Amino acid sequence: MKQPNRLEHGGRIDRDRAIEMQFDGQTLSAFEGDTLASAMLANGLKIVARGFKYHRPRGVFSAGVEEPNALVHLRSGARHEPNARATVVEAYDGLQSTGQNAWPGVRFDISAVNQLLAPFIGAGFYYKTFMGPVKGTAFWMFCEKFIRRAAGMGRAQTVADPDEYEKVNAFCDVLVIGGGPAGLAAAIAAGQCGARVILLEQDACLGGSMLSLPVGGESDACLKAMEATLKGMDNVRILKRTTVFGAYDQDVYGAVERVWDHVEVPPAHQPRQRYWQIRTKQAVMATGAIERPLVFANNDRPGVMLANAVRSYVNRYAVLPGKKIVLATNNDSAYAVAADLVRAGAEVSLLDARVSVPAELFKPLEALGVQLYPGYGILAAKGSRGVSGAKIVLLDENGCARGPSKTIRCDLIAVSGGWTPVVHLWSQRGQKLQFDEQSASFLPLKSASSTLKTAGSANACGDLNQALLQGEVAGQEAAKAVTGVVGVQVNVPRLKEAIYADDWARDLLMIWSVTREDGSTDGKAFVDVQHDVALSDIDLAHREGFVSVEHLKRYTTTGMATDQGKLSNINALARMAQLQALSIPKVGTTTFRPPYTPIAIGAIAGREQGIHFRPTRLTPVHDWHVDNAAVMIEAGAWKRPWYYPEGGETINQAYVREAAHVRKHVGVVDASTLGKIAVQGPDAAEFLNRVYVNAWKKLKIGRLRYGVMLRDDGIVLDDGATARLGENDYFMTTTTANAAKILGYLEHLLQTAWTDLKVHVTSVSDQYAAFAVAGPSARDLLDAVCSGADLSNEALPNNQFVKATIAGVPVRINRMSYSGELAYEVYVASGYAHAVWKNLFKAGASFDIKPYGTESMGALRIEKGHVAGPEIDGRTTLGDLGLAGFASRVKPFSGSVLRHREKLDMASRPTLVGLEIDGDTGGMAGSLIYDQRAQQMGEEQGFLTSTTYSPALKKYISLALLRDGHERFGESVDIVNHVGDTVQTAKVVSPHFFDPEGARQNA
Amino acid sequence: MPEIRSALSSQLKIGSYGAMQDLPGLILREQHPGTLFQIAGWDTFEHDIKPLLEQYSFSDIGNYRQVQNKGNNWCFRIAPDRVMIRDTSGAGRAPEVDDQTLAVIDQSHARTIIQMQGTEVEAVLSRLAPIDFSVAAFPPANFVQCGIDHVNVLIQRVSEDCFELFIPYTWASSVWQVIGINAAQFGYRVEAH
Repeated sequence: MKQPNRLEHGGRIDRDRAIEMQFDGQTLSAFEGDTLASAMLANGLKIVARGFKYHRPRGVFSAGVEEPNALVHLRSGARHEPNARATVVEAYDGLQSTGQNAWPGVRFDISAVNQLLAPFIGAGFYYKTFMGPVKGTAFWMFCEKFIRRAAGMGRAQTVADPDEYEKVNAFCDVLVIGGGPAGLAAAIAAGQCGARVILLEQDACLGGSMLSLPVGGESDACLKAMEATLKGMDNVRILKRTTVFGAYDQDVYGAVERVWDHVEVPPAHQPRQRYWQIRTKQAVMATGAIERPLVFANNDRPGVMLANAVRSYVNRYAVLPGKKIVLATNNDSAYAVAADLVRAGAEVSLLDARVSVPAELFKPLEALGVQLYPGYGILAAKGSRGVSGAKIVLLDENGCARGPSKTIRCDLIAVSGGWTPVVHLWSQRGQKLQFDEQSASFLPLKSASSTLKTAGSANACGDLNQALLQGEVAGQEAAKAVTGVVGVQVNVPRLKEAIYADDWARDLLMIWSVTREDGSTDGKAFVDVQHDVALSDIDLAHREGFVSVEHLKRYTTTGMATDQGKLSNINALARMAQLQALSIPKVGTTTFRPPYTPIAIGAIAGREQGIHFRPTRLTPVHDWHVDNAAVMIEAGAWKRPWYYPEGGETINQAYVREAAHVRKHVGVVDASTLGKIAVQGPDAAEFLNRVYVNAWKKLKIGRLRYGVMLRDDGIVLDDGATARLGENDYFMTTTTANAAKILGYLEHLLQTAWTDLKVHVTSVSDQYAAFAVAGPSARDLLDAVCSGADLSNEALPNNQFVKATIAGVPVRINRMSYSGELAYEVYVASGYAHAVWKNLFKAGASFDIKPYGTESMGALRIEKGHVAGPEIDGRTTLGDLGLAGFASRVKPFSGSVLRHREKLDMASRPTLVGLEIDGDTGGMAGSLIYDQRAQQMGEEQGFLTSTTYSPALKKYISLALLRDGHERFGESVDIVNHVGDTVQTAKVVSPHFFDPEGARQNA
Repeated sequence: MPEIRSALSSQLKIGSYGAMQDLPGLILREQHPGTLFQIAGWDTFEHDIKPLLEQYSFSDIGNYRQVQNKGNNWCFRIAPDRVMIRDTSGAGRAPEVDDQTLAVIDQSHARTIIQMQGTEVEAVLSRLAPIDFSVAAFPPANFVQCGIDHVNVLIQRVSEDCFELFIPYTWASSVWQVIGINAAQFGYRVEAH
């Protein structure tokens, strides 16, 4: 396609590299160096989007991140990205984009009929139109479904993003934010003063506002010189395409680098985007300023643009978006724009709201043939699908029309309502802003921060030379604060002559809107273009009593779109101030929060997604489980073998078989995930005595003991076994789930409550693996593989341990049973675990050894009535679990006082029982228990905690907590699963279903 | 006695990975730490441990950043009242101590060491931990304790282009994978120790 608006010469594009892109199926010709927006304009596209609410046609409005209109879908398929601002999308060959928020397309959109509904969908319509007329909220809930479907702009994909994103940490002495003139000067100055500097620039090129100036001018030479200086400085790192989106405490900044966003598919192994977390000692905020629009009727029409944006398109991209241009302003900066537009071939009419204009400004334009209209403003833009004219009028001091209007035919309206310094990061750091009357903007309050300095247009500085000077000073000061170096001659260039018109703050007239004499507008006059918030909406909110700026923002949604009020905040505040007869600062401001511009969720996630969402922990024998077809399950961060299916078994078949096998022969389960804590020191016994409910001071070396811990409030915290290895040396085990919590708890007690105790606690969970060998043949198996220890019942009764060797590897063997069978726990150093495990299986072949997983381990312990996580759920007491007998009545221990609170001592509390379920289906954990004798299904009496099929009893059983449980053995109860909508019956029995006397484990 | 099995047995495969240029940006190796043990004490720790440290030719308890190294022995002060000592002489046993004043724990199997070496080592590490890995801030013979992928690790700088990471045995596989995916863009080679 031809580029009707492309200038024959000029621009900073590479005319030797032509590219083609697609927008809504239309081919756009462009050059490398273009953006999607500049290509759209070059190719004559006027309508590129539709408004949020009213679906009015919209065109490109700006040339930067502040763009409110030209939001597009980028790419397709899994790489699809919604809400991409065409003004910052770098053009590349093959780029595919489509319009948003319109059907069938942006050029013709059926939803434009919404404009007819405008009276009903003004500010706050959710609360009025759909809630007021009908009592209750049912009508609103019905309408919400449709509104929700219509809401939003772009559509997100639900297919996994194939690209990579990463996070990087960086450190420096001076962080310079912004690569425009002030930032470049700051980076040079700080670098030449010896600081380690990182310079971040959101654009693909350095230069900032200098890139909008005519090519080949003095500013270009200045820019080139600065770039060359920086290139030669090893201590300055430059990141382009990098936006600082957040400023955080302790001088930490978040930035996203769009590493490969300018290509369709990033090269292999390269991230598309990179999130930088930068820790610096000093920062210089040289973030520039954003031009402010003027508010008048139909100021959203395609063809209404920011003045300096038009200048950017002309000078940087060699695109002239209009031939007959009306330029409206209230400050000096539009004059330089007018000159550039005329030189590019446009016919320009310049409306200045100021009645009197200095000769320095106008004389050069007069010579170029610009028609000046002092004291005039634009009352309304004419045209519907594009600007066709501007209705102009003389203004009074409030921006109201004075006298009759006249129309100038034009195809482009460029507006400049002043400039808004970009102070978001300053504000995010909690630093104060002060309203400056001269520039009509909020500026950083000087000396508020010792580690964040500002320079350039962010300070509403005068001209380019001022920006360079401020940058140089800020860079030097920042470097001095870190390095202490002073008196260094820095090498920052200056322009020979400042450009008069550059100083926009010099003589700004705060007329920001133009209305009829009576204050009304001839059509919708938008304050927030992206969210379709008009002057009339702000007026309505005011009339309805929303006079606080926070309420105004949320009620009208002004400033809440993806541009976050970059173009609308000040004008909205100005209107509020007008309505309330206050000054702008008195009205107040809302809070700037990160991110400054939208960032991809992928960048925030980085590598922490998929299997790396969190780290995974593997036991030392993990590979063996995988090689032997174990189905693994997550137990916190651990991967554990769940069951080992044979011959296509289901889980139910496998676990029943495994459990039965343990009861009949011998099985081994990998128990390495148990928490293992070394408790050492002369006061170790005293310490254990305080943390456990039972007594520990008389535990002999070579013995181990089961213990229960309570929380301070008397609720059961955890259980485990602790062995005494030496005089002052104990080995504690905890449950898998609570390992880290218990270690932290013990350390907390030692560091805060019992600082006098000479005890150290150290995790040894990684040092040792642990295997539970259980079953009638367990002793025989271990006898066959071990040497150096007597494992007979007499030599090694329950709750004792011995040291032995297996295949030459030292091990410790505890005799302790969780399964209720004759059982041992083998502890071995992790590096030898695999070898010892394999040895067990090699020797165990003649004993019919089988591995068993967590599912069957659960079945075995439920049969025995041993409590675990489902019972120790943070609500149960010792008494509830039948463990009250463990607790010492003599010594104090953690939780010993509060466990006797009235509610915890009540006799009617649910207590641990067993349930034998009737029928061929197991109960579901969490099901509620009801008294069959009750007339109606009233209050539940308890609930199921753990359930299984019992191979030993050949029926389904459960552990449960049941009110007055111990008095109800033999009773029949109802089990109701309200979620699954089932009812079963069961008999209440002792929770110790199998071998309650312990004959098997004591054999 | 069988060989000590690596925590990375099924993960570590010799070869080149990622965006290889002429030379890899990073070389990864795994090694067993040798004998590694922690010694802890209480109020008079600095005094109580002195004789033991002298056996290893260490003059004092050191500080929290600098590694003490004498021949086959390294000493890391990991807490006000704890040190970690690494002994690669093959002696293979933790020392005996007076358990009234000191506590010793063998951690020889609790850690594995991943060695990272190459021109891009700082770039890769900066993706793993929020630490300033520049030579100026982290010179050779220094160490830090930090987290990689939420796992506690100790990182020692051996030379300008070489770091050793002490990683808990059961987390090593996960951390190894995270190192790999962050190193891929620079190209890396896995070598035998």
